[in-house]
Amino acid sequence: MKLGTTFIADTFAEAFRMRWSRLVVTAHDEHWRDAAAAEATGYGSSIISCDSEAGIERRLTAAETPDGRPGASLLFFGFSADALGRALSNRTGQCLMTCATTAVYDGLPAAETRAPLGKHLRYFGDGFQKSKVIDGRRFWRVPVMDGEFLVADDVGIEKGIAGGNIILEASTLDTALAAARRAIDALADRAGVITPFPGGVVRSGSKVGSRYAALRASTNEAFCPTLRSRVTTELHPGANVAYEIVINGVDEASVAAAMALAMRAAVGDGVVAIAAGNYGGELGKFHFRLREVLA
Amino acid sequence: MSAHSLRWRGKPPPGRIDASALRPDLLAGLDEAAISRLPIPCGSSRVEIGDLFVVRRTPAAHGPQLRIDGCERYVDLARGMERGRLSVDGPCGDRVGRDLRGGEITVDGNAGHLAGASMSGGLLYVGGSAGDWLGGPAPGDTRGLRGGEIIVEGSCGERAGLAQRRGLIAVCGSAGRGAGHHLRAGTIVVLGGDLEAPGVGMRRGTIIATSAATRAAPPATFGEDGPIRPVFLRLLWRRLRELGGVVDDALDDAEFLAFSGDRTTGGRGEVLYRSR
Repeated sequence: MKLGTTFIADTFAEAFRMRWSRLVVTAHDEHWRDAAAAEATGYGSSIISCDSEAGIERRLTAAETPDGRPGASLLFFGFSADALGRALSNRTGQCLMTCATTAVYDGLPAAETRAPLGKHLRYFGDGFQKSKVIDGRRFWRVPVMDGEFLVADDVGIEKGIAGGNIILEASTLDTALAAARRAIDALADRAGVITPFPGGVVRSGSKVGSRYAALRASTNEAFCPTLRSRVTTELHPGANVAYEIVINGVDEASVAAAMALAMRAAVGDGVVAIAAGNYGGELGKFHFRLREVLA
Repeated sequence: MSAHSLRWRGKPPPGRIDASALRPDLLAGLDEAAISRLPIPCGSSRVEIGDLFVVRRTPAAHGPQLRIDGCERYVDLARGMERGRLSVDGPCGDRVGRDLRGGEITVDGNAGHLAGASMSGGLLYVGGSAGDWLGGPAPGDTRGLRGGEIIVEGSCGERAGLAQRRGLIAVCGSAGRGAGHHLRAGTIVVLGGDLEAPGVGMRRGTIIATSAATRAAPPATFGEDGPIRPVFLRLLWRRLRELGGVVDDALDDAEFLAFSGDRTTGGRGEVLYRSR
């Protein structure tokens, strides 16, 4: 199958069940909003070594936020509700409470599973913190040096999907980078998904396990062009560069739609093929066949 | 579900009417005849609802609903109501919404003293003004409002929020002397005018005066903390707008002068006066 001039491999992306949460962060202006969002979602690329996978879902206008200030919705993914709750609390305390003018709200108020947020962070107020219940929801007002840090008492957690992906294969580095940028631009501000890696793109695609016992993951040699003569390659014969775009989403439909959108945006001259990463289908519960999501 | 209406059969009786049974959740499922036979204390005697009102029943899509004619001689109207919607066409007497736990009461007129007394949930909306001790403790109780929301479009009498524990009281006009007396927690907002001697003996909670014309200071046992623009107020204004309160958009960016107190009782409460 071809999409334009790009070959679409008959393969699938293998994705996993994870827990996710959404924080809505607001600040005095876009500068501090962006600073807070970048800090809170940093070091959140892969659950292999990070406490969570994190990204900016989309920027919010003042009209879309609870307090009428510029905001961003951030998505965080973790293996369990407990682990994710700890990550949210740590990241909020270290990256959002510390950022000038921010406030943090629950982006999943209807979720039954809850994780404490302000309930823990309030103790930073050292007894001077105050709670306020508005419209049935409790917030904490923690005194800080520019006034108050307002934070939701707890946040919702739902089941989502992590590990949807496509692998772009191109003839040159410039072509591959341009295709990756097109794909990421197409997904920017798309509700329900994030691309948690730097700039949304992974160059060090991984496989499960390693010849070194201490490592849980190692390079995916089948897509490394410099190893083409030494391993069983999965690269298209015309490909010299490959990039993976990993997509985490709130449900199957969001991930599938995002994969399709990214592929349609990425194809073009020099993008010789689009494949996907999987583990033979035995590890992940969700299989997204490239040709089916494009249908 | 059903919607009922109670309209005066003639002139309202001269005595006080114990209206505690006039609750949409209690009347839901009853037909007109059954409701008409229900007893209701009136003055020194006991009459049937049908003696006072013409009862009508119509289907309703969303929960139990009750619409009644107003009367200043109602007492304890909808006491302990847990769900549904009660609309009062006209004024109502003392203690409307006493012990309210859920649902919504809308009064298209004035309310008497102790409106929302000891209520713990739901919404009480008064289209006119309210008397003294709005959201205060019901007779025999030591705690006032402990949850839910009270909105008064007009003004209210003295000591609104007396011994309030939680919840929100918003007065779009002015409040009489002594609002938030012995406030334990919760929020009192006065949007339209005077706020004299607020927060005496308050332990926690927030009292807010948004009229820039208000120049009164809190009691001397409060300390001034300087100008602030707390973000939580933006959520509060938004909520009040949702509830039908008239809240000036300029309040979103308004600055308040903060006082903490009452220091005779711990000093963890706050009184906020709009300064700009």
